Amino acid sequence: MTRVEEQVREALSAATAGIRPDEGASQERIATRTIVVRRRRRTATIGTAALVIAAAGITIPRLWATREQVVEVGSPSTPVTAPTVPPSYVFPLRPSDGSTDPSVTAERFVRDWLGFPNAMVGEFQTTPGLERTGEVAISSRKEDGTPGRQVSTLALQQAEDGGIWYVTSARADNVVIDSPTSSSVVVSPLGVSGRGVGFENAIVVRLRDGKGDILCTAPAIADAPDFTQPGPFAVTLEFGPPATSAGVLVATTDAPAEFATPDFTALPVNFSLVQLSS
Amino acid sequence: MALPVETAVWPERLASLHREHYRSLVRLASLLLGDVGTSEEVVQDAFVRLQVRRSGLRDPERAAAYLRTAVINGARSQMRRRKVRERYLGRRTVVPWGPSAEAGALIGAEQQWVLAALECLPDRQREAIALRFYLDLSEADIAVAMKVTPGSVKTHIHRGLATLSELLEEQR
Repeated sequence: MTRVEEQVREALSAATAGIRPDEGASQERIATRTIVVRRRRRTATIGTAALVIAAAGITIPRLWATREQVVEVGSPSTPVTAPTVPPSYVFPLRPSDGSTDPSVTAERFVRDWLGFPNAMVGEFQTTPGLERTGEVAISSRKEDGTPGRQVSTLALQQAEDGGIWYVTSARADNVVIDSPTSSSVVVSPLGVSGRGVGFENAIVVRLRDGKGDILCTAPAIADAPDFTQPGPFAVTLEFGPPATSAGVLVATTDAPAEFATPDFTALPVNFSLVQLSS
Repeated sequence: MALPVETAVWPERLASLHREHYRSLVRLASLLLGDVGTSEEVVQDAFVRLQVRRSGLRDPERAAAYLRTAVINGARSQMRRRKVRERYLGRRTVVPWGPSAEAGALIGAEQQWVLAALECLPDRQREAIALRFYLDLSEADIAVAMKVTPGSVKTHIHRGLATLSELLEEQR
């Protein structure tokens, strides 16, 4: 050890020799301060968690409500690029059920998912001015196997070039849902109103969750004046907690014969957080 | 249900750490800060942090090293605050090292020169020298406490001692 090192060691030792902190009091002080710090941290954690939950409770339903985006139709010379993922859709809820052929997607939706095995799927028609967007007409089947009356029109959209096609909605002249609107956030009991006409003016409203399971089925009678013009109907659906955050509301007329294809309309809905967590 | 072993032995381990290190850490901090009251605050803060974050301490055997690092960091924070206050007030508020009446009686004239010379060193050199010659830590342990490389520790100590030698030579 050099002389200066020795001097430093002695000086530091001498300088600290007189420092004798009260170790008993310090232990108490440390314990008290630890309690205070833990309490503060706990309060901060609870406060932060409450803020996050509140923010999520406000933001997520709003985001869902705004999922339905308006796609403006441009002139044919300036096609509007469709969003890469449809803002809201009713089918396929599992990508494996979809197809890169819009007609196949439409067929699977109507025959397999809705359960209308005799429905006839028309040719896909591209919407002018909109890329990767179009419609498919759905008709009933006559006894001779030819297409009969048109019962619905499916709107389809392709997620991306070469990707699968989605059914974004189904609409029919003979059964229309006015409320709730597409992509609404819904909660039980759900009031559904609309207009319809058909065999005995009977309307059936079904709510399905994202897995396709039927959450609720409710019949209604449309107050159609003369069986030719749609009349109003209203029904209330009561359903338990859904398994998924999104679902599909389907309204059909009542078909007079077994396996006949009724008129149908379908739109996507989102379940409220309250309903999901209940 | 019995408490996990770690939870059960922790208070005892903490009491043992306090017994073994509290006084030396207060003394170390006072060498850096020159103020026993503030030094006690800094060391108590380190113990509080250790208790609150004990679940985040990967290796409980390293608790003493954690405490030393926390004390060094706490002392640095105090020094920074003092310097800001100094700049803001436009005058020096850092009290130069001066022994209490009790401690002064134990310190000879030569030692007071050494302590005064230590005050002239940059903060990092003073920290390294205090850790080396007061706590008798190895260069590796000092590097951990100061969060620098062992090479930097060697440099800080070498330069600090060289400066001290010059200053003490001038006094002779």
